[in-house]
Amino acid sequence: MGDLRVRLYVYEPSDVELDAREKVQMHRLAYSDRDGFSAEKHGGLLRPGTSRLRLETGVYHFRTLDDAALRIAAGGRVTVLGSDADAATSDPKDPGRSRLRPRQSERSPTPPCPGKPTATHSSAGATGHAAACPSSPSCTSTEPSDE
Amino acid sequence: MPTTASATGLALHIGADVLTNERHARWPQARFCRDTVARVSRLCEAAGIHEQLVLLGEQATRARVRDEIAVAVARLDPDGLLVLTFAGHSERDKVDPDETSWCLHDGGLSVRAVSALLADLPATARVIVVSDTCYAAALGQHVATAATVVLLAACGEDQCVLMLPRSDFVVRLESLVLPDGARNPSCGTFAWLHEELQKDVPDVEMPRVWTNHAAAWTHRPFYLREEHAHG
Repeated sequence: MGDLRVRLYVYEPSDVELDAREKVQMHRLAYSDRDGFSAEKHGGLLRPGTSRLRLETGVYHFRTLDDAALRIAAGGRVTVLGSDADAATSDPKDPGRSRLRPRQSERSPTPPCPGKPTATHSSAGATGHAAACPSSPSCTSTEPSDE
Repeated sequence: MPTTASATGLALHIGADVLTNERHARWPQARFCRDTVARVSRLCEAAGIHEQLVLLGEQATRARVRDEIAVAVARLDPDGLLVLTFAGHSERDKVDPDETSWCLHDGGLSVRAVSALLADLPATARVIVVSDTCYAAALGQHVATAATVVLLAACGEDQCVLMLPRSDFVVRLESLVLPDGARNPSCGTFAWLHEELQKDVPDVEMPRVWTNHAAAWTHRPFYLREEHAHG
């Protein structure tokens, strides 16, 4: 089974609780015309168990080997997209087999991407590809699908 | 255990950050390649390996990589140390997961083929492969040489690495072996390195050290002379 790849679009500062059975690293994604997407670590390594994170407006990404549960503890304008790496597909209608267990359903239906040009964003938001490499499931990219 | 001397070493570093294959070219550029090559080059230089060949971008073609590995294998002293670095994308066959390839400038080169090129090394030779890519540990499945091979893998054979401007794995590798440009006296064995590389990293991207010869666990990493922790 492939890893679980999750992207969070945060529209207002929010607190989230991530429950995972493994060590997880959250990354914040940024976009520039020159370099495209880049990622930097957001906070330290999260230990197994429940971790609470403060997320400012932006796009975030994490991966896990196993299922994880996510809860929006405060704030709440957060859109969560998740998919298995092995389920990644170029079919924009296929979001993949999500193993993310949302613990709260407070979500935005059509997310504008805070850190990303709208044109590229809308496909990423609509497809549910999460962070799977756009054209190849064989690697992990911080870029959204452009297909 | 006696200490034997290996007088010479060679290094070949491949940074495949310019891909022209139709499918690979659509992927995000692996921007960490040059940084990885620079860092491993420094490790080799500190080890006394002064003969290093770097293939970056358009130089990292399938034919050139194959040829240069073959040349290095042929030229290496029987008791020499070869350091082979690959930084870039890899892909795995969906149907046959055992078939993993390095994505080079003009297409894929299977790690099975890379391993086959190492098969001609004499049993007394040593190889360190720095595999800074997805499915990094997969190469170990195909190693079939009498030489001692140590694989330093950025992640497991079924794992992927996050494409960042710098490779966390290699940054950490350099900081463990050569912190601030000086040899780390604590870095005495590959077993130690394996443990340290696995500390404080996400489980989904777990570096590992692998070898085909158990004795290599006691070898000192990036050292021309074959030293053992328990002499």
